[in-house]
Amino acid sequence: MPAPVTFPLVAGGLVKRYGRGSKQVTAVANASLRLRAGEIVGIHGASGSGKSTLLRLLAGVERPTAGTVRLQGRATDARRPHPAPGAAMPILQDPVGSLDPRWPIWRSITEPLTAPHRPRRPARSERRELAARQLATVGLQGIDLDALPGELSRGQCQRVAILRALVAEPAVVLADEPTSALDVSVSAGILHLLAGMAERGAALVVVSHDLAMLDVLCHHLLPMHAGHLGQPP
Amino acid sequence: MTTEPVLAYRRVSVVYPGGAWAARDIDLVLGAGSCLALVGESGCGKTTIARAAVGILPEGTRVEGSIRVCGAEVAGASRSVMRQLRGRAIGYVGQDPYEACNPLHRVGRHVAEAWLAHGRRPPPGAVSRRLGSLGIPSPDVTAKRYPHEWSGGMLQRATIAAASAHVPPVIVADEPTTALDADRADAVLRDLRATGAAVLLVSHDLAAVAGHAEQVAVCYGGRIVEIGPAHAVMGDPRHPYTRALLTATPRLGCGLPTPLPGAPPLPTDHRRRCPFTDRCPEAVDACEQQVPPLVGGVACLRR
Amino acid sequence: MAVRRGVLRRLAAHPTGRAGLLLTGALIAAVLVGPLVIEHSPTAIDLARKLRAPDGANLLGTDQFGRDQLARVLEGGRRSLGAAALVMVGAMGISLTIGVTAGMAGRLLDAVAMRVVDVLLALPGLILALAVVGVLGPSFTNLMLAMVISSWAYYARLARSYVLAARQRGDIMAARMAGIGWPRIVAGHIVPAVATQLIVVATLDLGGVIVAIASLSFLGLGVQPPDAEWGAMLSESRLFFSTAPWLLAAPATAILLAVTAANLIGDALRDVAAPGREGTG
Repeated sequence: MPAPVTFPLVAGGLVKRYGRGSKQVTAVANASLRLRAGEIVGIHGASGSGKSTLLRLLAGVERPTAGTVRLQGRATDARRPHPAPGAAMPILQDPVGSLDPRWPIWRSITEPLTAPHRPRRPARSERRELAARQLATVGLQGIDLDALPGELSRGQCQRVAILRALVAEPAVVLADEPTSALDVSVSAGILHLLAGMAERGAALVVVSHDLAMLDVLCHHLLPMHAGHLGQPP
Repeated sequence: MTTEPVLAYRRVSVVYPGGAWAARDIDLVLGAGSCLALVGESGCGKTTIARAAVGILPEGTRVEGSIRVCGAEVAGASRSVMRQLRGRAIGYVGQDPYEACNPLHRVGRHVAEAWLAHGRRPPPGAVSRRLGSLGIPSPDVTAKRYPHEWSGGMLQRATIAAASAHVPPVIVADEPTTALDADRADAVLRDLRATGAAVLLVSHDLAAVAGHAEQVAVCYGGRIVEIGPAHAVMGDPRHPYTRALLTATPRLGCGLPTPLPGAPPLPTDHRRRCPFTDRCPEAVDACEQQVPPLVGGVACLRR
Repeated sequence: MAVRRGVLRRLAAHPTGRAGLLLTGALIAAVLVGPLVIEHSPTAIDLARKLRAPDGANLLGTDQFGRDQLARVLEGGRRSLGAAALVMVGAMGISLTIGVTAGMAGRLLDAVAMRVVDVLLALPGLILALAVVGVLGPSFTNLMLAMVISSWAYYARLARSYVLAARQRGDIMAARMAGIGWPRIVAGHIVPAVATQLIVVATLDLGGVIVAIASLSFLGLGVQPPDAEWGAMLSESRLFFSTAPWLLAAPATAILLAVTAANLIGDALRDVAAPGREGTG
């Protein structure tokens, strides 16, 4: 395990522009934020505010036009968009779409363990065993390890995605509308799981249009409007 | 104003082609100009119940009981009868305005469909007038644009304009704000009420709709488990499911909401018992043996 | 493996799929086993029994050389169906490789690959096949080669668009963030998804390939006499259309059955190929 840093996620002056000339669109304009371990930050904005783009910049899956992102102290750049592999993991809005529809859930859950930076790649049987042992931590005890995402409910798929994130032991979790596609009774359980991740030391960024959900879950709230991220308190 | 209900469901049940029950023993009454919110989570049957009144259920679905729209029987009615009623007696607004509008037609044409569907042309200026009355700026110009050039909120207003073009006494709105942001959602619900029609409002978001409806009916496992004035159901819920639903809903200033473990019964579960038994903190043996009748607005043996 | 087993089972459960599987099974069994079982040889000439209508000795009649038509249809089936399968496999292989490369590669490589595809797509398939055979000379092998060359471009473009769509998926994002390298992601997530989608499209096109092969053979660009093949048999039957109509009926019916089988399976596959099933809301 790498030595913990004070701020597992630091973003400075992030800008993302699309297009050229008169058609240019600024999705994110000069966003900065800093998270400590165990902190939950909510970014509240309507659709089109740029919050999902900001999350993708923090995740390293999109290259910023300007600005820096440091995960576990390591800066991301064009050549190495994931300098700290496994340090950040996503929880996305469409739970079923965030899992490979052809992979049984044990395979999706333990995929992070097959990453090259890890000391050893566990055998299939080891991976299945680990998945079986961990199911209860996200309330999926009794679910068939070989089930395909299409056979599970949306709430169950989101729990699988959360378990996949937990398996990677990330320092940062980036959640984009984690409960928007779920029923109210199901969302409450997911919120508890997310809070639990923070209690165990992960820093969370949760992006959503649902103010009430962010209010009950997050320690701090930042508004986002037309690409501009509000100032932290 | 007449006291005769404009929409009345009496012991309505809906069965899918495979034999699964989508809704059972539904009794609902909607008075002229009022709004009833039918709320519940995925799979509770609320969408099926609403669509039964408009006659847009899948082929082979059987509707038992009686659904009357302004006195006209709709359950099991022929296609020609439904075609006459749709638009004139009962309007429909769906969840996704971009799906409702043909992307190759200008929005004005979509509103004009309200007349074209009955073999008539819209009177000159009628389309612009309807769009204008719903707060669409410069309706003459904007009506000429295509759906993708309109925002979601505005386009949903246009579908409301189309649904209310003939001033039908009843409008069925199936999750009309689910695809919209919170502030737009409020505006759309206000527009629906402003049409003056009686509105059957289907939603999964209890909190969002309760402020716009006089009555709220809570749907679970294909049955109505609680029904009453909005402020009563929201402020002092009596059915254990309604209570659980409200405590599971995040609220500003409160802590993490209480989860509700388990899952609703499948439509293929034909057992005669309270649908909420498995997940109910107050369940007793009697709850497994009979379906609690809806008495005094609550279907619970413990009340 | 589990998913593939599931697909066959789901196909068998689907009414159209069941019909397609049965018909395909019957056709394959017929062309594989038939020639071994039948006493007549497809090329044996017997001028004494020429142009006989179907009877006890020759179940589908004989042609102008006295050759048994049933033997020729079954033997020809091996070529027609075998060629269709080989052409499809070849075209799929090439298009998958090029499509995935284009979809995953940088803008320059993608642009170059797609311009090549554009050029090939601009030429009508049959003309292109004619040109290739014209250059290489008429033979069954060259016919198959020509078909592969003229059909891969269409599937490559499809494959590339499937790849571009797959790249946006949430599971790919999670894998990248977990530190999984692109090669493993492409092999484990992207290629299986794209291949499955391509197979569904290809199966629906299989009927067209069978007909195209028959057409080229009909024009004399495929098998050379005395080898049997359905399209070539159709061509030979032209002269005797009014006097010996059974010579036309046999290969025409065979082609009809094969195309129908392919379409039935293709239709069912399209309904059934999505793994797992989503419940109602």
